[in-house]
Amino acid sequence: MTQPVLEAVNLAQSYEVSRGFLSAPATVKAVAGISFRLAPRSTLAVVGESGSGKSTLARMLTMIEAPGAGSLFLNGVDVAEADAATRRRYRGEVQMVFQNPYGSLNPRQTIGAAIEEPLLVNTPLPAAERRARALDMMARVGLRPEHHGRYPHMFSGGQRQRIAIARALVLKPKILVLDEPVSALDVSVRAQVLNLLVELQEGLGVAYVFVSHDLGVVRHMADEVMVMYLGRAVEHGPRDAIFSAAKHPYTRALMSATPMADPGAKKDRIVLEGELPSPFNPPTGCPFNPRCPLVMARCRSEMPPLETKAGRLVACWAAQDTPGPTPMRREAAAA
Amino acid sequence: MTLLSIRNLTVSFATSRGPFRAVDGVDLDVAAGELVAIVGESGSGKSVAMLAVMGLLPWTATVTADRLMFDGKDLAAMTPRERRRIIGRDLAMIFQEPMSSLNPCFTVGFQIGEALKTHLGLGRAARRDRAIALLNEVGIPEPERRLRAFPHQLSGGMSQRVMIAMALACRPKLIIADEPTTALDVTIQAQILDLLVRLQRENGVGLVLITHDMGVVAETSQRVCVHYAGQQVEMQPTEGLFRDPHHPYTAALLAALPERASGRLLPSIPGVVPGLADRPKGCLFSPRCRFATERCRTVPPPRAGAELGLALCHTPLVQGVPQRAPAAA
Repeated sequence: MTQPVLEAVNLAQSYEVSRGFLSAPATVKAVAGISFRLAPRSTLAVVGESGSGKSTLARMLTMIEAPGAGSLFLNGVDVAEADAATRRRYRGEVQMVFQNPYGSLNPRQTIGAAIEEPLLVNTPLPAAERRARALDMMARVGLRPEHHGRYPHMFSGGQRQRIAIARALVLKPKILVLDEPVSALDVSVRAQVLNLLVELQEGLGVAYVFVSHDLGVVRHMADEVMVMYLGRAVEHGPRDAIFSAAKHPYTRALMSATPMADPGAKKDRIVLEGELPSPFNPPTGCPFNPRCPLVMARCRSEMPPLETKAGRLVACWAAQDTPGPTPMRREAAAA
Repeated sequence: MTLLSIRNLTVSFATSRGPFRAVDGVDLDVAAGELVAIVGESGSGKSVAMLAVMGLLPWTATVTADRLMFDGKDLAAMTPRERRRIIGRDLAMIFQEPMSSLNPCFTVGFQIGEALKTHLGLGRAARRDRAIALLNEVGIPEPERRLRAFPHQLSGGMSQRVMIAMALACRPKLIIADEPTTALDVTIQAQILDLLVRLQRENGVGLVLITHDMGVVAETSQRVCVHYAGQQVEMQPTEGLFRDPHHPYTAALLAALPERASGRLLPSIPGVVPGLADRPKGCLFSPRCRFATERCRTVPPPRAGAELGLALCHTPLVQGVPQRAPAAA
C-alpha cells in the first residue's frame, strides 16, 4: 500500500455527562478504538446508525476535537506531537463538509466571503488572489461567477451543498471529511452532488472520508467500507467484499433493512429487534449481542476482536472465515 | 370499495407575489386494504395534497376539487364541525417528525387518550386499557410504564410508534402517513414499515404513504403516484412503474438512484424543480427533460391513458422510448 495520507490508530473519545445533582457523572464512550489507513485519492465510507459514533470520529479526524486516546497520523506525522505551527498547517489539509447545508452557511455572509474565509484565515494571500481562487473553485463546483456576491437564502439545497464543498476545497486539502453530505437532498439533486464529488476526486486527487447511513450511496462512492456499531468498527474492508458477502450479522441486517428500489427483488429480510443500546450502559461482551440473531453464550461475556476473516476485518465470534455471507439462523426458521 | 376519491384537487396559496399553485389537478382513489404511495421531491405538493384532504391547511390556502369524497361522504361540502367528527376517527394521519409532532407537555397516555375521549367518549379506565392495548399493538415494551412517559423520554422510533398508536386509536378506515420513517435509522425504519404494512393487511385499512424514498415505495406499496411540481405526472401499479416508467421524470428519477447505476457517474437530472417565479409555460418538466420538444415547452401536456400510466406527457415513454412522433416544431 502506498503511504496513507491519513492514518488513525486506536482513536477513542469519551464524554462525561452530568446525570443530575446527586448522581455521579456518567462516561459515554462515543468512539472506542477505531483504526484505519486512508490511501490518497480513495474513499473510505463510514456507515452506522445514529449513536454509532461516526460524527464523533469525523470531529476527531478534522481536529475539531483532540482524540481522547489513540493517535492520528497525517502524512506519517503524529498530529498530537506536531508543534502548533505544523498543526495549524495540517488543519488546512483536512476539511469538512457538514450534513445540513441550511445550517452550515452563515445567512449574513455572501457566499463569496464564505468561500474566501478559509484563505483569509490560513494564508497570506492578497484580496484579489483570494477572490480569483474562490471564483475558480466556484466554477469547479458548478456555480456561476455572479453567485459570488449572493447570500445563502438565494440558493437551493443542492447549490448550498456545492457552496459548502467549494468552501472546504478552497484550501486544496488532501482529505475531505463528508458528514452525510447528501442525506438532506432530493434524489435528482443528490445524483448531481454525488457526480460532482466523483469528478472533484478525479480532478483534485482528494481522499474522502464519507460518513453516511445510506448504503446505496456508500456502495456507489466507496473503495473501502467501515461499519460502526456503538463506537466500534464491526466490519471493515473493501467495498466489494462487504457488499457481496457481509460477514458481520449487523452489516447483513443493515443491508437487508435498506429498502431496495426493485419490487421484484427477492430479499431475505432480517428485521432487528430493539434499538441501539444506551451508550451509558453498553452491554457486556459484544455490543451487538442483545439484538443479534446469531448470539451465543460467548458473545455475552467476551468482546470479539477485530480480526481478518475472508479478506476483511470483522469483529464477531460467529463470523466464519469462508467465502459467502455468514448464514443467519432466523432465515432458516422463516423459510 | 373506494374509501377516498379525489378528482382534480387544486390547492393554491396566496403569496405576496400572487397565487401559487402547490397542488394542481390531482386525482386519487384509495380502496380499503390498499397501500398507495405518493412519491415526489420536496416542493412537489405531495404533503399539501393530503393536508388538504385532512383539512389541516392554513387560511391562506384555497382548496378546490371536482370531487373530494371520503367513505361516501363529501368532505368539501361538510361544515367544519362535521368534518372534525370524521378526522381523527375514520381518517387519521401520521406526521413526519415524531419528535416535534408530539406535544412535549403531556404524557403519551394522555395524548393517546385525547382521541378516545373526543371521538368515542370512553371513560378514564377504558381509555387507559385501550391505550395499553394500542401501545402493545405497535410493539412498545412495558406499555403500562410508557403511558406515563413524556415524549422527550422516548427515542425517535418509539415516538413514531406512539404516533402510529394515536392514529390507530379509533380504528380508522384510512391512514395517511406523511414520510413516517424519514427521520429514523434504517433498522428502525424496517421495523416501522413492517408494522404499518402488517396493520394495513390485518385490519384492512387503506394506507396512503407519502415518501421520497423509491426503496420504501418498492418494498411496501401496491400502487404509486408520482408528483412533480404540484402535478401528478404518473400513476401505475408498483411493479409496472419500476419495470417500465412512462413519464420521463419517473424514468430519470429511477435512473438517478445510486443503487441502479452502473457507471461511476450517475445519470442525474439537470436543473431544479421550478419555483413560483420560473414556472414554464408548457410541460412543467420540459426544462429538465431530455426528450423535450418545442411543443412540450409551449403546450401543457395531455394525460395519457391508463395503459401509459396516466402520464402527463406529450410523448410518454415505453421501454425508455418516446411514443407518438413529436409534432414538427
